[in-house]
Amino acid sequence: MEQNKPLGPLEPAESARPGVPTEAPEAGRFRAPLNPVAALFTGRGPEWVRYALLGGVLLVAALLPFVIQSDRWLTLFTIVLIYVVLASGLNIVVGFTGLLDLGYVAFYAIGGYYAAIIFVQVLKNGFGLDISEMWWLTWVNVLVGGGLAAVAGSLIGYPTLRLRGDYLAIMTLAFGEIIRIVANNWVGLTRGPSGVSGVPKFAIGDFVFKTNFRSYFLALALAVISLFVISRLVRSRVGRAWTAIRDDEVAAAAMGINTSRYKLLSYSCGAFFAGTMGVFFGQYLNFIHPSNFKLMESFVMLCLVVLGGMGGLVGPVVGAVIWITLQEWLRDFEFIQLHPEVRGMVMGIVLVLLMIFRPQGIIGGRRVPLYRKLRRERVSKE
Amino acid sequence: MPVLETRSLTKVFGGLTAVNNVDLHVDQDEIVALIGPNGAGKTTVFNAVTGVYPPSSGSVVFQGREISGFPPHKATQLGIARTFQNIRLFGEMSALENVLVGQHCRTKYTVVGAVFRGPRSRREERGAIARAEELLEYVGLSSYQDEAARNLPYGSQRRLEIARALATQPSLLFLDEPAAGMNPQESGALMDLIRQIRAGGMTIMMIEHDMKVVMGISDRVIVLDHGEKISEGTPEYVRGDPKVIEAYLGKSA
Ligand SMILES: Nc1ncnc2c1ncn2[C@@H]1O[C@H](COP(=O)(O)OP(=O)(O)OP(=O)(O)O)[C@@H](O)[C@H]1O
Ligand SMILES: [Mg+2]
Repeated sequence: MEQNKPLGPLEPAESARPGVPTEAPEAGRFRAPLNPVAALFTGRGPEWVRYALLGGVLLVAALLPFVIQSDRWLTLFTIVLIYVVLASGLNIVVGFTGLLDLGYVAFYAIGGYYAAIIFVQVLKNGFGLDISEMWWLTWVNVLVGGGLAAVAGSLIGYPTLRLRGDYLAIMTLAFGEIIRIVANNWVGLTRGPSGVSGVPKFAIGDFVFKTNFRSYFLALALAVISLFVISRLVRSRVGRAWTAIRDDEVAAAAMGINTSRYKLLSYSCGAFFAGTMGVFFGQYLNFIHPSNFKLMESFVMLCLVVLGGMGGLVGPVVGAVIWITLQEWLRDFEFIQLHPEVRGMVMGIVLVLLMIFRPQGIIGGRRVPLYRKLRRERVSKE
Repeated sequence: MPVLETRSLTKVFGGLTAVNNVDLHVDQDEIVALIGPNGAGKTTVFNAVTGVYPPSSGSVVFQGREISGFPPHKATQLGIARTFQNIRLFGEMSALENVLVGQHCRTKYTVVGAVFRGPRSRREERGAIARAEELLEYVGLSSYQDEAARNLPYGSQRRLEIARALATQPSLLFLDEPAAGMNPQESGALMDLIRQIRAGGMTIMMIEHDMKVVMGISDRVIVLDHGEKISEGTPEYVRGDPKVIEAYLGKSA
C-alpha cells in the first residue's frame, strides 16, 4: 500500500457526488430481505446463521449412516459424495471461469487409472511387491492422482486457450473420449476392456476402509476438505481473477490478469479434484474399467452443475445430491426395472422441465462473495 | 521525457487504416484530450497502446521503454490503466469486488496462499480490501459497495470503472469517453474527479466528445480524423483551427 501514492490524500469525493446517499442504503432497497436459507446461499447476513446451517448439514451427513444402515443406500450416499466433489470441481471451470468443459470425465479417469496402474500393474505385477503392505500409498495416491490430473488439465487447456464456445466444447469433448479410448486399447498398461481389478482399499495400518460405513465417512471427509479448499480458492484473488475472466475477458486482461495463465490454472484446479476422486473411486471399488468413464459421465457432471446452479458453491452440491439420488431411486420402480431405458428418458424430461421453469438452476446463480473480511484482531498478531 | 510516446503508430484492419502514422506524446501530470469525429481511430489508439491488439507498425514507448506488442496485462502491470467506451465492468461482481480485481497485479499470492491463508496472503488481502473501500469512497460509491456492478446507475458505473482502473496503481490513466451518457451535473462532478485524480499525481489521456469537458480540463488537445493526427495544441488553439472545424462540420464539396 505504501509504495503507491498516485492519489494524494484520499478524500471522499462528497461534493462530486450530489444525490448519492452517504449512508448505507436501507436494507432491502437493493436486495430481497434476508432469510436464513438465503443467507447460507448468498453468504450475506449474519455469519452465525451460515455457520449454523453449515453445521446442521454436516451433522445430518455425519448421522446419516447411523440412521440408514442399508448397504445399498450407503453406497449410494458415497457415490453422491463423489459427484458432489466432481460437480464442484467442474464448477470451478464452468461456473466460475465460464469455460465449457465437456471432457471433465477424463481427469476422473486419469485419477482412477493412476491408482490402478501404480498398484496393480507397476508395483504388484511389475515389481512383484506385496501391495497389501503399502497402505500409506493409498493416501499419497489421492494427492498424486490429483496432481497428475492437474498437469493433464493444463496440457489440454493449453491448445484450447484460443478457442471459444463451440470449438472449445468439441475440443474438450474429444479429449474426454481420447482418454477412454486409450484406456480401452492400451491393453499393456490398462488391461483394456477387461479392466484392472485388485486395487487395494484405503487403509491406515491394519484399519482397512472395507465396509460401506467406513468408506462413507472417508468420502465425506474428502468432500468436506475439497469443498473447503474450493471455497477458499474462490474467495481470493484467484477466484476473483477467474470470475473476472468469465464476466469480461478483455476487461480482465486490462486489470493485469494474465488470462491465459488463469484459465489454465482453472482447468488444473478443476482437474485436480476430479483426479482425487478418481483415485478414491478406484480404491473404493477396487476395480477400474473404461466403461466407468464414458462420455455420458461428462454430461452427467455438467448436468449436476447446471441443474444446481452455476457460479455459486452450493449449487453443484445440491445438484449432485438431488440428481444422483433421483437417478438411483428411479431404479426402485418396477416399471423402470422392466424398461431400464425409460430411466434416461425420465431424467431427460426432468432436466428439460427444470431448464424451462428454472433456467438458473435449483439454487440459482446466486453469487458468493469473492472476498472474505478478515478479522481485525489478527493484525496485532503479525 | 514524456510518459508515453507513439511514433508512426499505425493500425490496419483488413483494408481499413484505422490509425495512420500517429505521433503523439503525453507528459507527466498532463491531461491530454484525444478528440475527433466518430470512427476517427481514437479508441484504436488506446487499444494499440494498451495491447488489446498489436500495432501494425510504429512504436509505443512508455516511460522510456518500448512496449508495442505487449499483451494488455503487461501494459497494466507496467502502469497503464484504462476505462472502456462501452462500460466493461464485471457485471456479476459487487462494486467492491470490481475494485479488488483491479488490484490483481499489485498482489501476489496465488493458489497456495488462497487455500492456506498464510500471513502474507492475509496481509495482502486485508490491504486490498481496505484500499478498495478507500477507492470507492474516493469516487463516491461507498453506498454501492456490495451492489452488483450491473445494477448501478449508468453514471456510477463509469465512476466505478475509474476506481477500478485506479486500483491497478497506474502512472498513466486512459479514459475512453468518461462523460458519455452523463447529464451536465454528472459530467461536472466527473470533471472535479478527474482534476482531483491529476492533482494526486496522475497523467491522464482522455477521449471525449463532450466539448465542455474537453475544454474545461485538458491542458492539450490532439485531434484525429480518419486515423491521422490533424491538429494539436491548447484547447483554445484547437477550437479555432480550420482543419478541426472542417473535420467536424464535414468537407465542403
Ligand atoms: N477490431 C476492429 N476490427 C475492424 N475494424 C475496427 C476494429 N476496431 C475499430 N475498427 C474500425 O476502425 C475505425 C476506428 O474505430 P475507433 O473505434 O478507433 O473509432 P473512434 O474514434 O473511437 O470512434 P467513436 O468516437 O465512435 O468511438 C472505425 O472505422 C472502426 O469501424
Ligand atoms: Mg471510440
